[in-house]
Amino acid sequence: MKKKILVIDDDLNIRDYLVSLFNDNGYDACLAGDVKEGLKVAKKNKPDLITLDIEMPGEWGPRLYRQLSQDPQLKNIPVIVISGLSGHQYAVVKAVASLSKPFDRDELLKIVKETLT
Amino acid sequence: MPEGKFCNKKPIDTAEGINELLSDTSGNNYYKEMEKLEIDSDLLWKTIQNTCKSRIRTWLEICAHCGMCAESCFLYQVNGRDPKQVPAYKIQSTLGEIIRKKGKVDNKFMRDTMEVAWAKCTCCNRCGTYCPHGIDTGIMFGYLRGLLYQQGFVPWELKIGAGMHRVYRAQMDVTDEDFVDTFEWMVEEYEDDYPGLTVPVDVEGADIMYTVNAREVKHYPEDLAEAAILFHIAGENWTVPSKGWEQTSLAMFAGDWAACKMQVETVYEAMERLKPVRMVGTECGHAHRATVIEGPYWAGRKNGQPPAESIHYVEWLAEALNTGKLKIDPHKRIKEPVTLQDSCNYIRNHGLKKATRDIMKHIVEPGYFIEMSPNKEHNYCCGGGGGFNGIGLFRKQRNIALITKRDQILATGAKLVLAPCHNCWDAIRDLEEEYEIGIRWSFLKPIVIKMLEIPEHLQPEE
Amino acid sequence: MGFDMFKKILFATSATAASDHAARVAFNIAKSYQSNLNIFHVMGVPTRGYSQVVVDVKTKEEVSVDEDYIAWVTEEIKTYYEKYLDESLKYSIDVAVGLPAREILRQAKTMKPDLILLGGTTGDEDETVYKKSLAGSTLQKVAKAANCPVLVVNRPAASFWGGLSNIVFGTDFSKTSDKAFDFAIKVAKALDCELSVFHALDITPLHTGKMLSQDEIEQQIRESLRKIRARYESRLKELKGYSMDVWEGIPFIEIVKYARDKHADLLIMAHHSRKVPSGDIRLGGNVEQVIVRAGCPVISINK
Repeated sequence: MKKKILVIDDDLNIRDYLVSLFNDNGYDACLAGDVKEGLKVAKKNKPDLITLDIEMPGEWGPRLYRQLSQDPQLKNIPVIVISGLSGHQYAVVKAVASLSKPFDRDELLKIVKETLT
Repeated sequence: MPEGKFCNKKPIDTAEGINELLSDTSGNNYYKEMEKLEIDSDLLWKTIQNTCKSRIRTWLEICAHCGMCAESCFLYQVNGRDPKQVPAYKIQSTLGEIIRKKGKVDNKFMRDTMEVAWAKCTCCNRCGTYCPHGIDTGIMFGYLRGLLYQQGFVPWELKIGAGMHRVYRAQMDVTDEDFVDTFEWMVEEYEDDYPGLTVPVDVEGADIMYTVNAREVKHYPEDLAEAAILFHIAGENWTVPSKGWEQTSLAMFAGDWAACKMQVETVYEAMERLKPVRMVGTECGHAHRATVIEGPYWAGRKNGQPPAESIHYVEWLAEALNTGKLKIDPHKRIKEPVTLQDSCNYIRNHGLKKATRDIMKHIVEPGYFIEMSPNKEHNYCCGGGGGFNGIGLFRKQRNIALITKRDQILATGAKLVLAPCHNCWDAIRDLEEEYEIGIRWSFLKPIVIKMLEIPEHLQPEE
Repeated sequence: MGFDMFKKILFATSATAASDHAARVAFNIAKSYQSNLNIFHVMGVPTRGYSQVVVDVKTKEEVSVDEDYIAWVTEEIKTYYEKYLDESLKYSIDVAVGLPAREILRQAKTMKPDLILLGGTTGDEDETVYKKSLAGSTLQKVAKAANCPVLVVNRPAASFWGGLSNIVFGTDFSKTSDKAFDFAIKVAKALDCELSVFHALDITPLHTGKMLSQDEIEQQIRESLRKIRARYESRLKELKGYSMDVWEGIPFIEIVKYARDKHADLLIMAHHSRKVPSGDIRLGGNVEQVIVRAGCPVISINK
């Protein structure tokens, strides 16, 4: 069965790019444009991995992470931060990786692969 | 073009004039115009005839060119013992030449003379103590600066500084309201820590009238709070004048004699108005020289004294410690090698070396105070005295001049330098910036406050 | 929502990378709460006494300060923060010359902000030679003397601020702590946040004079909890959610841990200017240590 990845980003271009990148590489990607939606989708779909933007309208990425970590069903989902903000590697202490925009697709795929096997 | 827009013989008398000159970045146009500035030789010669009295004329004549002054001059030592840095040469080739030529000198000569007067002499008066005839080149340079100022050949910053005194009666654009406001603000900030702390303004008949350096108000207002705290804890009956509070005189550095007089008379008027028993000035060297030593003569006071007995901050502090008005907690004394900068203006020129040594005895654990060598009245200038610190045009020369002090400090091995003088404090700060020898430096007030025993009734509740 | 506790914010910045994290929080708060943001930059102290020359903290170069230069610096700051400065933001930019702490306080004196926002101690303005002149840090001086709350963002980790929902208030039961509590509860109420009241029991032998037994520690924890209840609980009940905890250890470490555990967006504490033993005024003790370590912005309250 295909592994599920949830992409959370408010930037449409990046979101679409990530979704097709994951789908093309044998994953099943779904998406959300902000924290509220992200949490809803996560609860419904129970993804195996989440990529998370930091700066988004309304609540920021780290706040989603907080909510995930308070939910026993979601708290062990690995999170990869993908952000253009300086110092983003400090934003989510327990993220499996933190990538700067623009990111290297091969690097991202490699991390995803390592995380999901 | 005889008189420039920026560079001319006219003193600055308005705030607009100051701003206009300030708008000429780094004085670039000012110095360009100076190259074309004409000399009024008649006025120059007439001025010399009226003001160059027998002392200076005699000095210029009796100089035997023996060269004893050479080694006494730190600028000679630190500039490769260049014969052109021998004090006797420096004054003979400038003031001596102007007099010999009866004022008929050209523009290039005047610009060179300006450099000698401000970048080759800090008016530290050390050579005067070594001359077998007692000739004091520093005094003569002070006089020469007056002639140069009259003719418009004065460094940009000092022309502005003198203008500040004329407009604000302070070396910076700090008004009387600014002064009182800032002092009250500072006291407010500290009154929680020192209950009852106040700044008594314009109280008549106080024991002490305190005067400051405008820089404290502008950039280092903690200094005002610290002064208030120390007077408060010592139980002094003190006051500050709302007018006449500025003790310094960049006009003196600039050679603007008229502004010197205006400035110091403002302070004397405050003394006459408030009739304090004594005036105490802040930790500043040239301010003391201007207000206490030379000022009475500028103001034409026959007895050569200010209207009220006037003492330097170190004299007050030494007295307060010696008499027990201020008590030091012996556990909090300085327990690291520490050295002391003797300010030329009140140590060599006013003999206050005992006061500072008394203070050191109180605040430094025995064995940790290391004298510079030489010291007391033989100490060298910090390297930035006489206006040198502030002149952008001569910054390079000033940085070389700091080497003497740097090496004196290094030789003590101390990492902490106490410098109860604004100019010395600046020079030492700048030498750390320039040469990074890893020292710290401080005025006395903050150091002393930290080690005071505060009487029970003055301590904060809780 | 009529949240008016941060109407005027004074944001002191070097406008360099060192202030980026604080800037992120500053602009975020200003936009979230429609604040007037005053971006305030202190260029440095004039070197050479009374001269016009300062060492610019941004460029490290000696510059001659005049109107043109100030206009240029203002423009530079605008460019630096361009991405934040859109129409939805009410802001002004001021530039001053002097010692940073003093000029920030001077600006606060005239502007009377509701909040002063500072970057951390790692900012390079502290790397200048002035640091050595026995002066103490900007942060410490401003926190001690300011008449309004001072918010500090030190670590980058503290800057991913996406709004307020969890506030931690650290108390030591002092009078100043009570004032800090007033502020904390006001913010929590106005923004519908949860508030966690926390006390750290100092069990370091240096503080207690001896090694405490576990019974003694637990006894003291119970006492402290009773104190928290008596002092604060009646007002905590007005909130949508609250908690009260006491942990033992090294106080500043415990507070930082607790805030992390609670996913706090904001830590509020009292700044004690006086209670610090006079021998160690270097870092005013706990608050500064918490500021340096916290993973969220810290507000220090003094008066």
